[in-house]
Amino acid sequence: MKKILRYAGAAALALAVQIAQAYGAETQAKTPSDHQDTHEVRIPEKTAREAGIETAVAGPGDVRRSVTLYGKTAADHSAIAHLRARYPGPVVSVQVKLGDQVQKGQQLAVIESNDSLQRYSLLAPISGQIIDKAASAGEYSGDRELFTIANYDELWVELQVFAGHRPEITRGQRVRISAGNLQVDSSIASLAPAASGQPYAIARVALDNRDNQWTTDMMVQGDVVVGAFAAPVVVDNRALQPLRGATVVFVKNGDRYRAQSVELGRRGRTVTEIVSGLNAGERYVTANSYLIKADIEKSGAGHHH
Amino acid sequence: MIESILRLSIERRYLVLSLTLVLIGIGIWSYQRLSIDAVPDITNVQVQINTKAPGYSPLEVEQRITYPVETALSGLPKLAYTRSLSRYGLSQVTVVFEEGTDLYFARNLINTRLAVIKGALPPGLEPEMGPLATGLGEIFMYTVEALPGARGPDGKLYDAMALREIQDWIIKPQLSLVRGVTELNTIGGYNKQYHVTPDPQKMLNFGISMADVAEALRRNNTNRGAGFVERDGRQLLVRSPGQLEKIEQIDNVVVTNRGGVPVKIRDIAEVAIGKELRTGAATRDGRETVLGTAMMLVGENSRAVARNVANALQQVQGSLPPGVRVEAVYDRTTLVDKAIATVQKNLLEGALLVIAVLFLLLGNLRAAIITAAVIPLAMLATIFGMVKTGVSANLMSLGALDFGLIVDGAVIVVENAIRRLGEAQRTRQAPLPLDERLDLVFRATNEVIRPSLFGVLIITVVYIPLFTLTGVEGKMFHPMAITVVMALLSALVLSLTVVPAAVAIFLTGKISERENRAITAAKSLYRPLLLAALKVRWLLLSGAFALVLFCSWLATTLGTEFIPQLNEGDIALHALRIPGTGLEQAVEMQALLEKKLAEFPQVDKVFAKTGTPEVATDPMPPNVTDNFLILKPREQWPDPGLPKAELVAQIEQAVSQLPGNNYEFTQPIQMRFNELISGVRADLGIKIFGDNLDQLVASAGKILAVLQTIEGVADARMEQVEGLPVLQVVPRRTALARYGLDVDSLQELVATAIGGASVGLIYEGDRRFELVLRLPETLRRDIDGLKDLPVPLPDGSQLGRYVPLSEVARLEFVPAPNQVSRENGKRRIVVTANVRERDLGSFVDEARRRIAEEAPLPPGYWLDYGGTFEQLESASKRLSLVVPLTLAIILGLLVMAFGSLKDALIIFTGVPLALTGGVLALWLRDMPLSISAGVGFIALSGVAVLNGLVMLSFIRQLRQEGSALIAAIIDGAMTRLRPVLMTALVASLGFVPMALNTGTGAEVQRPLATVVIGGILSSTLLTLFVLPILYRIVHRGEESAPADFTADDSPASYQVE
Repeated sequence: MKKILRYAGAAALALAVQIAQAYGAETQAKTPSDHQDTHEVRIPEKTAREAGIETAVAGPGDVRRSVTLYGKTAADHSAIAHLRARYPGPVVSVQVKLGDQVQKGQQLAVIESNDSLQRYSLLAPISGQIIDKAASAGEYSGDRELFTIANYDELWVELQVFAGHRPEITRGQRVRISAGNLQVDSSIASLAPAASGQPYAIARVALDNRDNQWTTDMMVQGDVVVGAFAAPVVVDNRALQPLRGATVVFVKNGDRYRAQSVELGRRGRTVTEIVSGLNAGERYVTANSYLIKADIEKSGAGHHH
Repeated sequence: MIESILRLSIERRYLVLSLTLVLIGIGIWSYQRLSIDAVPDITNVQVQINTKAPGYSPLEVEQRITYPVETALSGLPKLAYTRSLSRYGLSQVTVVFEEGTDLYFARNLINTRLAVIKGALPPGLEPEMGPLATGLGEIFMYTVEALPGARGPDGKLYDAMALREIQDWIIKPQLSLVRGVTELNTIGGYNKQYHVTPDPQKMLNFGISMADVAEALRRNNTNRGAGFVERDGRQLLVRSPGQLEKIEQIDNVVVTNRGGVPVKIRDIAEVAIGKELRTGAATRDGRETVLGTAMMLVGENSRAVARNVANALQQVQGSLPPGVRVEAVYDRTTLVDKAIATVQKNLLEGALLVIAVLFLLLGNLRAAIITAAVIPLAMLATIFGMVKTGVSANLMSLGALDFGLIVDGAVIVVENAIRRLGEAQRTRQAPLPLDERLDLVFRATNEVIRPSLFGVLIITVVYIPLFTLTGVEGKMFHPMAITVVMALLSALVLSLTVVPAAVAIFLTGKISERENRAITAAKSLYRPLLLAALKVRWLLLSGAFALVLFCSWLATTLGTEFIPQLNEGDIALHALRIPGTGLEQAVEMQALLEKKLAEFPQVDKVFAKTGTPEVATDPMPPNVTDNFLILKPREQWPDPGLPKAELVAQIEQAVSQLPGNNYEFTQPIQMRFNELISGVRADLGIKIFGDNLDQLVASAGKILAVLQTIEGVADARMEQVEGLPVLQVVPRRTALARYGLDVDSLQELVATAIGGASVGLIYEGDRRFELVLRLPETLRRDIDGLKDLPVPLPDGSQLGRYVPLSEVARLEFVPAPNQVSRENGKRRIVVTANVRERDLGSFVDEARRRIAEEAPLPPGYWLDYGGTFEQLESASKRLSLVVPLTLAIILGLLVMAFGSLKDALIIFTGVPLALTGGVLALWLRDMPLSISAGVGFIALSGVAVLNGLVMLSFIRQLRQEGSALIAAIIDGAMTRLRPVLMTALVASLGFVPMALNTGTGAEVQRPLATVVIGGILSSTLLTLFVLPILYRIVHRGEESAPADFTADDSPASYQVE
């Protein structure tokens, strides 16, 4: 009787002990017990190639940073002339039409002075385009603005520099102005606070508009190159991966890849300066560096439902 | 009672036989309704509530959706527990009900509750209940693919989006109609969307905000009906169509007016067909594909439904555009057919063997056929019972059926009848007249019916402990126990009614009851051996005792496993990557992996699901992929004999070289069960409940550290909840206020710009596609540039038109929880550990003590110890009560039968003796102890008792008739040699095919059959020798026969009612 009980007990145990194994394989996921402190993985050359892991050699390079600003185009104040009749009187004749290009000194209209009854010519003070015309022959000129001439050969772009970018923007920086398909390269000519009440500074950029592509009050985007530094060691931005609280690059050594934590300097659009941690000449992973990070961290990758 | 039944059966023998026709009819009718599957369904009664929340991060999902849903469900009747998961864009609450709750009832309750809380959820979010399916539900999968070079109607090559459109609008509607399909789930490809992607600079130019664009699109995209007018007797319906249909129309939607000129969408934005932000992808052989899964309605017949889906898919193919192909990649029918073929083969071969043995040993064809007829009849009755109790036919439920056991009762009856008839004929030298024959049949049957009834009853009783199993084990083994018990009971009834009736009808004329050579030889061998054994009885007894001791030691050296895992034939493989891995990255890694897998010559197809499908039946994050490896038939393997485990090892070896993946190997159905049952499946699971996730993680870490120092710990790990990289756009409130903005408008802008906002639908006939407004892809992906995203200021602001995002918000990268798990309405985190080479109980005690001392929890946090140790505790507690109780019941039955504790105990010695053979057989075949083997031991105990019963009752009968002790023993043993040999032979031979089969599913049955065969061999041998010896020893002192067990007087004490 006792033996039987023992058998029954054995069977009962067999039954219960291994419940986990039958339908609970997930808990048995591999848990590598030792985490080495130097994170290193081995990936055979062939596998690495198939996985699309690419490498490059760390070395000197230019770190370029750019900032996107928005703003609008404006004409220079000196490039706009508002013409009035000096001595009011009837307009005798008008020589130009709205939209005509005029040269400096070109006659625009003839006006007869009320005081002297003398006729005199109204001449263009600057070269430019008639953008407004309020004078027709026979009209009384009065004190009105008769013509507005504007010269848009050179426009300004007024980029708004908000506080966040203010320290980075200085005079002389290269900037690419774009609006839709229009693009032109220029540089920041001046930087000044905006009129009172406006929470930004204005960076003025001269815009060559001799082909007349631009108009005023266009909303434009300015990509300012705020830094172009030659750094002794730079790496491709794709190489940088966060790993256990640090930023690392993966240094290739044969078929071994070692996570090397690095101190970053200035970060550019494509490359980033390495202050310490990586020496020039070392081969590091660029494309698909994520795979190596994934391989190092994968011991923790579990699947919980 | 028994007598009157017997008498009635024999008198009304033709009626009884015609009743069997009714039984056959019912059986066949039931067979058509019997649901057939490969394995029993072990899913609990659960309802999943999924809420899709596009763009919501885990914490928001938890707070805004999961919590209200969970709260609404608390207090539902019959609720067992709830658990929930909050992931990116998805809340899943799983509600588990008590066993036996009606699923439809449960869903109804939930539906009512959900209706109430709809108002409490963020607008536009709709909680939905998961499909009405169980873990066995995913019965059919297919891929939609384009032939190389195939082009769609627009002249472009089919891409994943075009294929998805075909799946959604051509295939799915047709397949959803298939009877028994409750849901068609899709993963892979992209939902087609119309994308309006405005250029921020152009918007600034016109002073237009995202909200303006969204508003314009919303207000210019509807058809309206306007009632009707009557004119000249006609009724004219009035409608105003305004829906956008084409990209050009979207282009021309006017957003606003600037200086009298309309600003159209085309002036500020690109409109194009775009891809959704998808949460799941499907791949096949390294390429992106679209994968459809047909889910079977609960309780349907998976084989039939899968076949219907396959047929429907054939028809669907005809409706597809040229160049597009659907292909079934997983079909449950294959597995079910294979498993059922295995079972059928086993049963059929077993039945044939049984019949052959019967014929050989009885030497009478008619008698053999009558006995064998019990097999199909009992089977039909069992099928009827299975349909009525809702048990499906599968490897487990049919796995323990042994026709040998089933016919045991009938064998004894027929054997005795034929012996008595033969004897009678020999004395008369002529066939018996009818009434005499009937009387003789009655007496012959009555003589042995009690022991045989008791035997069958006892076999039935020993299955009782199986009924006390709960949980998964219960679900696996209840069907087995139910089926076996039903088969035994129906056989019992049959051998009480049909068998005597048939004997009475068919065993007419000259009874050719030849003692065939085998029996004669056995008898001539047995007698001297028995005599010798009686002489050296003490030696033999101590030998037997030694054997028992040896085998109980041997049993402890056998390995253990829960149940042998059913080999589904295919491999499922989880590929796990680090949390935070993007879907596209995962798909790339998948391409590499699948290429590697496809290199194996054994692999036919490889396909995979990454992330979450459309209906989140299994909400996987994008860093987890389920790979399915469909293997070729073994004949096509380079080495057809390669064990699957070996193949898996080879595959594991090959894929472990790929960087960045972790793997878990499982099988399709097994995987699905895992997903659904979930819960803690380690030996010890410590759940920490509380509010603050950081605190939970910290506490879990401490507890993990403590656990790792406890002796015997293995695989200790904690649930990974962290590691999702998040880009936070934190509003600067004062800056916002300065610009006249508020947090909401900022968030709205960011959400629309990055995640996109749905601003309506574009209809193409029935097909409808979302119209989405969001930033161009180049800008969305440019995280550095996001800082400069212009935030438009309110109209007329003195401060200009816009402010860059970085002025009014702080952008930061932070790690965040990748999921929040909750249980019973509280956040929880689980630390699990397995225990090796140490007693689980003491381990748990030490863990409890040490954790309480070394890792105290702050107030408001509490622990819950769970895991399989709990089940182990309760199972062993229950079994340690039930197993002795069962044995006591058996003993009680025996005592009732014999009125003598001594004799009952003598018979009982058969049990350990039988077990020795079982243990030896396992050891010989190098099999571990498992529940399947345990069931074998259970069956074995029954057979052993039956054997002893048959033998002993006859000896006692002889004693009562006045024989001397030794003479009675020898005569009794000799007379019963044939039935004992027969029952033993049929029972063991019936299992031989099962023990030797290597087909699909055979691994589940093999241990059971092995145990029974080995055990019966040993128990028979020992019954034949040890039992007489014991009887001799025990009854040495008495010369006067004790009263009672005889065939002719039937004291009420052992009547079976």
